[in-house]
Amino acid sequence: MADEALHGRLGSLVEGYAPASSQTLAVHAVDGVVPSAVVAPGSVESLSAIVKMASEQGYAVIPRGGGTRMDFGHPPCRADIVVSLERLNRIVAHEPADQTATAEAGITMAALQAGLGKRGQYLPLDPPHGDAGTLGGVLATNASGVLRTSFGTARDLVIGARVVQADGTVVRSGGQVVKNVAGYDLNKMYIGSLGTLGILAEVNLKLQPVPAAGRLLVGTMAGIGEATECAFRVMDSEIIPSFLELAGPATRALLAGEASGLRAGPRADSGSVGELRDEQYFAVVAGMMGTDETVDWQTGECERIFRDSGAVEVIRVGGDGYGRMLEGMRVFPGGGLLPPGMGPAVTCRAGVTPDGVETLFRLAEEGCRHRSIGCGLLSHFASGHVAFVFYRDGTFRESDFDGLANLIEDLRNASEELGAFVVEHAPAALKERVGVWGSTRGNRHIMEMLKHRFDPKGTLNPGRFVDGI
Amino acid sequence: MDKDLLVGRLADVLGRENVIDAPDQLIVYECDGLTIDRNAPHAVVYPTTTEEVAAVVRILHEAGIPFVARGAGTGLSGGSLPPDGGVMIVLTKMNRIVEVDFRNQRALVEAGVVNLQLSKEVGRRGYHFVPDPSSQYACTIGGNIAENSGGPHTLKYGVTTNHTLGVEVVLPDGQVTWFGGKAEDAVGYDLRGLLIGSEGMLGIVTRAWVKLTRLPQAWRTFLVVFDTVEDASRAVAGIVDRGIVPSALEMIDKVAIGAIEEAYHFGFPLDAEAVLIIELEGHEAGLDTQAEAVAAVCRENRASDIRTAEDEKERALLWKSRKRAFGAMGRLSPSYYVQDGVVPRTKIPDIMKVIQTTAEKYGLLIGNVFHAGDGNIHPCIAYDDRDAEQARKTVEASNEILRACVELGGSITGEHGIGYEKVDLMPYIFDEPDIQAMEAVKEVFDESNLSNPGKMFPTNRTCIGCGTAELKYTNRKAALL
Repeated sequence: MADEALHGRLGSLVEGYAPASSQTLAVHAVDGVVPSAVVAPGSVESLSAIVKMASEQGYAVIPRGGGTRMDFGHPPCRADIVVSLERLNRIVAHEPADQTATAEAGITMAALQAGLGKRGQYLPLDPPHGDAGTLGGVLATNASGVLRTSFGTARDLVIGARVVQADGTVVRSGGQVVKNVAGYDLNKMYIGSLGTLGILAEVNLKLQPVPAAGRLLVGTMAGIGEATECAFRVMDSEIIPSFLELAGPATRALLAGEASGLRAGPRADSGSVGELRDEQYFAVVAGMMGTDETVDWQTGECERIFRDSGAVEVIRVGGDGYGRMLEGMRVFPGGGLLPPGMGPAVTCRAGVTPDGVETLFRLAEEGCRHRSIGCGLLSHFASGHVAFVFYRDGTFRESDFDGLANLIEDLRNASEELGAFVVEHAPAALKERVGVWGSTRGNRHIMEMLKHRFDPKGTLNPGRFVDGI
Repeated sequence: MDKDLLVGRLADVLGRENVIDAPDQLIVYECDGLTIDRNAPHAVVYPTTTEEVAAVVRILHEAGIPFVARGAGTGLSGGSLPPDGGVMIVLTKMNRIVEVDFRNQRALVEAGVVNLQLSKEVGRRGYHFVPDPSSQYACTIGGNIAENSGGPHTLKYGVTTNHTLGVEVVLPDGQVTWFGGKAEDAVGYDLRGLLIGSEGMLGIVTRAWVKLTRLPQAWRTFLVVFDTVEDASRAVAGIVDRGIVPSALEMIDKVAIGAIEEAYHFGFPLDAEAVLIIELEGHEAGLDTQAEAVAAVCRENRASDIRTAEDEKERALLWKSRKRAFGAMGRLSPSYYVQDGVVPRTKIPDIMKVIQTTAEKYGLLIGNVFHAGDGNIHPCIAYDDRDAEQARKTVEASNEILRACVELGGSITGEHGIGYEKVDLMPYIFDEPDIQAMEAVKEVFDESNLSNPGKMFPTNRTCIGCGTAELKYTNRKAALL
């Protein structure tokens, strides 16, 4: 009965609305919490009307993009309406000479980049989401990738937004220009809030020209100490790497496979990559972008630093190999690049200082070794970001949870001395046991108050964010 | 609370020498760089530690007395204009660089550290703090954070928020906390991002972890001369359109050239209608190729001369002339009023036309020195503050220019902030619900509205949302009349 009332209300708001089948509802479940309705508004106004109705009637709303990261955060305490943004998928405006664009939140990252690429530009944000991942989803989770080293995270790239608030009111923040300090910077607050303060509907973005050339250098290092030292020397040098990655042994082997095209067939242009298969080697990966001349100079200089730092092997990767390896590094933190037969993975991330990365690598390597857990590690080094990808043959079982929980606890304790640790992708039972978010460091009260002011009825994604928000 | 009692309690915490309450001494604090708005504080205090700031704020919170933080007082929007009956908390005695961590490329500084002081300190090791507002020889990093300051070189590298990892904050009730910290990616809502640029209304920043950036290996600095402002404007758009990202791209028009040349004798061409200062940074390899591309765009747009800064000394003088341009404008008239607006960079030719027309309409002299590369204009209106009619025209002309910025798709402030100056211009760009969302944030942080009240939000709300009604003049305008 309750569901029929809901369907009736949605039907009156959204043309062509039909109640979803139980199968569809199951697909849209969030950590096992099955919604009563799935609806895909075709305009911001329609989205606003749905949220307004939900707020008035006391329904909980779960915003959804491409559905690639619906297990992020805690299971929702309520889930009545899944609101899919898949139909809000247009590039509204692109002004190449201003290097700005406006896009609806439901556009997939792939479609967005393809659209911008037609005019020689791109959004320099490369999160690990799958192909279906949307701009809104990426912003809600504040996901980033290797490019954050040179271009920052979403909070550095979003210049304005249209947001549907919990009561359905549509508000703007920021603007359409690259420099603007009018009013509080609410864009920052919405990004990474997992849709708990409002639903991002339309976003204004700061773009970059597609670089003329790109190349990367892989330095194979005998140990984590050497690898870390090498990365620090690159940071302190005159090179301005577009990205600077530190890869654990398993990750190194996987990326080497990507670069040499072992998966995609043999390649001629990228040289012989990664003959070394020994499990103990680490890798430093530095990327150079720009004009041919600066890329050439930096590659030479970087190679010298790698060798001075004791690299066992230094490989230059350009052409197709470069693109494949970038893609490999992009998808890796989300569990999208695993050894054959492995996974699905449990993934976590830490945010520490660069000099905290080595400790976490050692701790993870050692912890995984004696628990027989596969250990993928990739750090966006200069920003202190560490991605942990834990895997075994097939799905983790209940019997693995003790070991994983202890491992995660150790890593969280070590990470939180300097920064933060978040469980990103894990079975609901494991998430419940270890918690997802970790400490908000004395700011719980302010965050709860913000949630209370922006969503007093708990309409949006209730229970999925930090501190039970 | 009785003033003597208040001063006594503040002196108990800070020592009598760090509390100022004599009316003749308070005059200095009655305004910041926006000199046409003035209001003397009730008292001024100089804390030296976070604990002292917190203790002061707790006293004020308990007594329900409003307060405002201030750094060097170089702000240009009246952001640190004292609220009525308020206490000013001056942070210039908290001026220690607490820790420089070159390995991790970040530094912990107190709020009162002067912007340039940090860059000088770390410059010896080849680093700098990127945000470089023109007042950087005096302004404090705490002030930069409050206003989310920019500067010429933020075109390529971003503004203060992009270079601030974490802030230690004394909340309006006197509690102390950190938003963000030494590491990136703090968990939860981005309170750090929310606080930066909030103009001292959500709390007082006492310390901050900021990023240090490697100085470039090489640079090329050009002074390009144009016969018309329009040609110079088109060259700006052309450079950006080619995908070239200079580290700085500044325009100076004829009025400002005259004033600057008279003051600094750099050798600017006095007959030019406009010049561009273009700086490219990066690696020696490839920089000349890029310079050639820039020169080509300039020539395409009929540049009459392209001069290159020969050495570091010449480059330094060029930048000094640029950064002290507003001071030089003071030679043209008893007073000047610097505006701060933004347009999409392709609209620079349009807004320059508007400025010219507006100057003619009001019979005012307007000089332009600004960050053309990111569309951030700074028309500088020369006027005589003793002449009420001129003062009125000045404000009207400036509002007209800002309205045009908004119509062209821009904003009413790019780096100076709303402060007190532009409270009633907020409805130019935000609707009532947008402003209410900001007010909701304010209420969460500062329920009692004690931390820098009277800023940011429009005072006259009756006409908001009614669309066509003209805005009421601000108090400032009333005072001018």
